[in-house]
Amino acid sequence: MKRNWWKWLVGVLVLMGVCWPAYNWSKANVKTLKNAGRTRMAPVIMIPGSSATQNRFDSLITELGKETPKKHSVLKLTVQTNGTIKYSGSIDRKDNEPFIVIGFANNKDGKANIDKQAVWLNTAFKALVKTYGFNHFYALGHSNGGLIWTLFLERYLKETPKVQIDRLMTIASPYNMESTSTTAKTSMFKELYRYRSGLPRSLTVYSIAGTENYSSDGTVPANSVNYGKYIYQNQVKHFTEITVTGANTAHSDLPQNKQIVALIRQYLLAENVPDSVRRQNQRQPKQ
Amino acid sequence: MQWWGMTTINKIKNGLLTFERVVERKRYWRALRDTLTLLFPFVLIGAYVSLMNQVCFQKNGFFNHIYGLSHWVPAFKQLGVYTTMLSLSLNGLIAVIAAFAAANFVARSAQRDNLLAGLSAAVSFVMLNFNYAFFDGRPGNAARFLETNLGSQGIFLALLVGLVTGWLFNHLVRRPHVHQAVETQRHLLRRARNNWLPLVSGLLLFSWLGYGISFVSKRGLNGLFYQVFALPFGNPGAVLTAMLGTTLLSNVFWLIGIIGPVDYSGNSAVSTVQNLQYALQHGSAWGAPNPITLHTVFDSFANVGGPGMTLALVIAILWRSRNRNYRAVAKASWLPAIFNFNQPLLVGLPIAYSPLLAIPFLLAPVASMLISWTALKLQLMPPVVYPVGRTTPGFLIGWLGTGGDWRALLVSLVNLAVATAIYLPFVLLANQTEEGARDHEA
Repeated sequence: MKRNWWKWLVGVLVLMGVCWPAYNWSKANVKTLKNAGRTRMAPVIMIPGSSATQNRFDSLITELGKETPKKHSVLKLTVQTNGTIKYSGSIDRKDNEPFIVIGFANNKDGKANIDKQAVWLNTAFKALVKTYGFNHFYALGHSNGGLIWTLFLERYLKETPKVQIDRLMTIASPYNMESTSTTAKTSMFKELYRYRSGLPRSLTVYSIAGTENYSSDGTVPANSVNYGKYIYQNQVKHFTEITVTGANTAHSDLPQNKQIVALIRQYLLAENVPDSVRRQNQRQPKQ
Repeated sequence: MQWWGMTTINKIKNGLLTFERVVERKRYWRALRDTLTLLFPFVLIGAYVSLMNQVCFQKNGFFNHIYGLSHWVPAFKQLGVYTTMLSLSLNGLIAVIAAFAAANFVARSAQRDNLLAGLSAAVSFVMLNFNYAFFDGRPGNAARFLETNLGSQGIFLALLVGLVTGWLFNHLVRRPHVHQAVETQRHLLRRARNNWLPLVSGLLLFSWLGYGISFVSKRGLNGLFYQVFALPFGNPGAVLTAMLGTTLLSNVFWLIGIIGPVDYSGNSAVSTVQNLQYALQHGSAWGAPNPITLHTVFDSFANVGGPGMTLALVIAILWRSRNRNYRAVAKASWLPAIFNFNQPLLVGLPIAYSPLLAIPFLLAPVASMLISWTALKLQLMPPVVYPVGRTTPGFLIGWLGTGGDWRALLVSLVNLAVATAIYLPFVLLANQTEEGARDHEA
């Protein structure tokens, strides 16, 4: 009986010796979390083109993951037509540059839909900022995704004044819709043009055009991509247009095109890319 | 009425005991259970190593958090490196041992060359996990083998490879193998000649299989397995039945040695981060936007001692069991179980492939989830919102995760008590299997 008594006492003492510091640690931890926030995080937010889902960039993300030593965690959102959001995937606690893909339940083409999608993007964006509390982000838009970004940056980003966009890259975004003309302006372009003064001044924009022939990538006319300059030039800090030709330049192949992946790595992610990639991107003479 | 109840219970009891005994006599089943028990010392040492490594010498280890070990323990970083090495080598290669042992036991049961069968199975298993990305020539993919598949994740596949290889040896060799007291070179060479057929056919079979799979799955057969087994686990959201179904299935997988196909990524799920942000802004966990998620119900309350509420099993055994095997295993494994490492119990008792212990292993977490869910629904306690390390003792997770709410601690303790009550009848039943076995021997 005496032995049992001792065992119990030791057990209780050990338990106290664990619980008390554990309780203190959890209090202190809550305090540090409160003060730290997640300000160091700067996500790369991607928007696919029309009729593509939140899984559109999977092969691009795999392609990016192959070369980089850094692992990016991936969070996918689907915004329903009533503004509710479905999430899949997650952001690692220590990941400061996660990928976030935003898809829309209604992902149809056309100006009316794109206008709505920009509003849904705003809903999703606000939810993300509220959850993850980031101050900076980078944006990538494929096809109409680039138009949604542009509308959002012109009209809705100011609703979240604390958050700043640093770089935007659009891939084959038809700023003048399907028009091949250099003069006729579609209503989509007119809207983007009208609100252009709302664009953040500090933004750096890269607009990439893919061309299978001299005029288009098979879906989006090169002239329509060119219309981006009327929107961005003189509104943002830097605006660069890049044309990619050669293998795999059909419209839907562009996001996983090796050349474009290299461009994303160097310009959007600002990775410390090897010289071979840098030379390929910038056509510098060999030293 | 009560008499009728007693007879049904007795019937079920006897049915279970008979089933357990019948199953024990099947050659391949026995080999499986013997393999697991043989693995026990390795898994036990591995668990203690994990305990040292993940609880003490990792930045987010529980003891490092609460005692600030990194500040005053000399050579903290070196100890971290050393224990990580131990953990990766011991736990990271356990499946290779499992393949060897399984083939060994199967071949021995039919008096075939068990040593050659075991070695052949080990090589076959490793071959099945060759990393074909090795040929891409990318600098990052230089590893020759899919190392993650060689650890406890690969045990199920390893057992399968072992059983198949053992079967090949049993059926492709005509003559039984005679153990020599002293091996001679002549006999060793004869062993090679007698066993070349199963040896070659086993290696060919698994190498072809591995190569074929590599065209479909980059992570090997194991990767394919995990993809398939992870399929039913979409995010079940906040629906109770969906959560129960998902977690039940996950625990079934644990039972057959498919360890953790599902990564709930508890602490980093969006709903969890939203809860955390809410709690940080409002200074309280009450009213968090997602009170009921897998993280707040399952992760935090139904994994005390690891999946299956196994700490309750340890308590039940130490308290009432007279089965000497059970007591020995429980006495050796209670410490890791406190920090949620239950692998020694899984292979030592074993819980895995045991029809008797499978029932409470599956039921206890369900009961805990129901209790926690009810407590959350009735707002008897706030949800777990603050991040808690994986190695925090299971019964403290609710308390620490709510920022020190006593009601959550109470719910955890009630869960543990209920789980113990669920395990107890089965532990008492096992007393009888022990006695039955003794009668049998006598």
